[in-house]
Amino acid sequence: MRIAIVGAGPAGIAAARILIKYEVSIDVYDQYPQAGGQYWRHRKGESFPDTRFETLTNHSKISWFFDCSVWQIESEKDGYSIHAIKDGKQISNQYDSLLVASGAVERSLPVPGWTLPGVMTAGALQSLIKGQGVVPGNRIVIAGSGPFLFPVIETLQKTLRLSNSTKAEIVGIFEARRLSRWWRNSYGLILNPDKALEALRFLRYLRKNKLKVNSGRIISKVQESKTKTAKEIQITSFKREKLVKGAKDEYLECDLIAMSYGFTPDLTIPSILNLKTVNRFSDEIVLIDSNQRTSKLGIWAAGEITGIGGHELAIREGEIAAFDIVGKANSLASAIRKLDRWRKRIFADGLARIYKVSDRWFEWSAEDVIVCRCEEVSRDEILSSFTELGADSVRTSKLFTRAGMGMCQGRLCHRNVQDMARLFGSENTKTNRPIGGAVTLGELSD
Amino acid sequence: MKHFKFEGDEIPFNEGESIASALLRAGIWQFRESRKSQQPRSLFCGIGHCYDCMVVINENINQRACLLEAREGLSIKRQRGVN
Amino acid sequence: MRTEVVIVGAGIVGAMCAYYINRSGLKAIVIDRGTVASGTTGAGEGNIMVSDKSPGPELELALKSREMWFEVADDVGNEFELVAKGGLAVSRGDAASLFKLSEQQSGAGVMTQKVGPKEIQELEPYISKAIINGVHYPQDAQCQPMLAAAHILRQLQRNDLNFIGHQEVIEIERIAQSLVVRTSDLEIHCGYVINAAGTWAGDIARIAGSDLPIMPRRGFILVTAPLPKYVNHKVYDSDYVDNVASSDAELQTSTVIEGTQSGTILIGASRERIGFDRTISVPVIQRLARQATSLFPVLANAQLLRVYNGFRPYSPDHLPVIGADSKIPGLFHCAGHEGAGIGLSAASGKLIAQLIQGETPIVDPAPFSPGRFQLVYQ
Repeated sequence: MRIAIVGAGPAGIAAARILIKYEVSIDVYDQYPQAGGQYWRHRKGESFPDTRFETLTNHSKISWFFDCSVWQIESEKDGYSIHAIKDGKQISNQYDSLLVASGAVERSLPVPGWTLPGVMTAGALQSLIKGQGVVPGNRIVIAGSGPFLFPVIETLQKTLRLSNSTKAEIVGIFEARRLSRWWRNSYGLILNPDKALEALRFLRYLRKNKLKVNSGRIISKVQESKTKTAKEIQITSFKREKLVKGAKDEYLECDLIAMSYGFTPDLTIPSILNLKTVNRFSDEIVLIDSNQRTSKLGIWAAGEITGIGGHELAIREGEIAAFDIVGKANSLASAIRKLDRWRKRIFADGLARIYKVSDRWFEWSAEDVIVCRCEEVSRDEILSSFTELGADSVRTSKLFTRAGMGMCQGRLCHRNVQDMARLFGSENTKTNRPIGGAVTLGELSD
Repeated sequence: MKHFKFEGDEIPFNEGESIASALLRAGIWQFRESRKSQQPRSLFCGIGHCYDCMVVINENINQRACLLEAREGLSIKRQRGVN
Repeated sequence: MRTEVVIVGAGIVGAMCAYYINRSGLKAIVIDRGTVASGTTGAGEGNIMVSDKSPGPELELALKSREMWFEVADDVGNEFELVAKGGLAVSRGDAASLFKLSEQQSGAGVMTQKVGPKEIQELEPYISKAIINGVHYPQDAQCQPMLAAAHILRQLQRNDLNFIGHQEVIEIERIAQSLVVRTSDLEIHCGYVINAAGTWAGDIARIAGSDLPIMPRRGFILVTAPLPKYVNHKVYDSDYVDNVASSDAELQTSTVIEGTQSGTILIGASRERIGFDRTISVPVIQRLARQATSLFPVLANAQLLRVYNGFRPYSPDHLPVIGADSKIPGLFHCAGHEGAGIGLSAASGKLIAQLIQGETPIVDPAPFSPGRFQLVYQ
């Protein structure tokens, strides 16, 4: 059996580790130069961050296709053809089964001034520190919402403490939600004591390092500061899904702002396969059954694209998919993992309930704000396409405004425009991205 | 120390480092100008998704600085719109 | 509800019908099973061309329609990137048939200019040096068709026209002297129904108790990343004209390349009779890419951002169907424009309005008559 895994992150790697024990050939495709995805990002030459999977990168049964852009996958009579670009050349390979594990992208919310240099996602800062060894700022602010802020804070703080020469410091941490919301995940915490301990450890780490988290506060504006080399941010109180304007606004000088509002599935590969998706906590996710099978025969999905849940859950899903691919869905090993998947899913859903971003975030800002960064389309232009021009879906809004038509093809803004479309009753908010990866006309011509 | 050129200046880089990383390390934040309103843009997502970090490398436009490894002798410029 | 005219279809043809019906003083309601530009208009390039048509009724309609497009833009405001950028038909080798066509077109009122290698390089500095002969057509124009349909309808809604989306037509019945159009939510009494449902016009005709042989012809368009202005005109090789006229079911491709206001470059064109299959075809994309880089070598480094397909509505003789249904009084058709719908829409809308009002039509309507395909029962 020829199997292709698209995505060399936790889910894909975990599946590969199970599959190598069987009579199958495994090809793994990834757009980055090494395995690990986002979660196990590491510097070139460093050993693989998780010892459980270290030996896979050299395994004789796995062919790794790195720096590879999968731009199309075609259904054949008895399987699938992956069309990709590697080293500027086209490659096409046929498979019986596919596992799609293409991961998540960070969710960013537009804020006036968010396009200024110096503003980046929390994941960008994480990858600069972990992947490149650079902290490009002196007065660093971390803001947004969600559990991802904590590992980023910890990575940053550890790096700052280790370096003797730096005068860099974290000057502000702003989390939109309050800690008291964690009661919404009580059941999840009870079932996952390891997660509860991890959370307590984080809180202790913050206290020990005198890092104060300002809860119920968000960045409502970013602008150039008077000194021009730095930024000034406006911090506003956030309560009951609304900004509490005016009263307790603060201003802070900084030069690096890392913002994150959690993650959302990257639906590019599911889109070229035309897999059925459903809505879960306002995220579009790939529909799967208990064995991670998708709406198409011979295609499995695992990891963040079936619902944001973190790397341990992704590992379990990858393993469960692998067992089913080789016909071992009814084994004890699979059953144990399904139980673990169940309790991890409860925890992840609890997190979604705590940190869910309001569908009406675009009402937070009094100012008009850029929503599509690539094509510089403002929130008001997008709303007008619905109210004035008769747009009834993300697709038609895109045709009228160009939001989502630029270089990133909606990877950053589609999720946000989906919320706006839903306000107007649109049911058709499905991601439609016909080209799966970077490819040039010249590469297609030979 | 190896170098590449950015807007005519020599920028040092570490082996295996991305172009974006080297530029940020050197204190250079503005990588390009947006097409419609010429706004300054820089690295945003860091993982090759957002295309905000595009620079011109040896006359080739739309090169994502966060993904590409720095190499000796590259001639890199800010991308202004599509140029 | 009660009105004088119901227009089925809110694509560019429906929008233009609505425009001229409204301007002629009749009350109208536009309905669509989706929203504005949900069908082929949403997959169009925005071609308003006279250069790709041989002398005949379609060219005559196209010439009039081209002028009317600019009148409409003057009237409602040019919010849809309408620009007379001109077309360039090129030939790599023997240009005899291309030149002959251009002479015939010139005789029929088209502005043409034969060009050799030097002029071609001036008109298109990035075109392949292997291109030695061509014809420049200054009248060819382009627009953004979805915005055009949306803005025209929006303007008309300020002038007493209703547009109601998400109305699938279930029944069209003749009762006494009027027609009744029934959708899931509405029941509309009217004097006239204009079937502007494009590739689905056959379905609407059938629902009304008539028939219309409109079939889909799939086309793909490649969209590049925003690029410097590498292409100034709509540039196409002379195979394009032959393909348009062909009835082959097999895949036919020709090279059509043009830029847009947003900087992206659109690449076509393909024609296949493959029903309503929306699957992305890798061989078509590869072929179109190869053709494009062969004509404009600079495009080799251009990133392909997006691909989309649409279904051109074609009739057996490749001419649109404009006029009164031969069986159902009050039912008019304005559909089957194949790949020229955007360009022909203005004159088609005007013609329909004139036919309904009994005015002298701008062109001889006989070649477009629905009756030419319909069996008439005595």
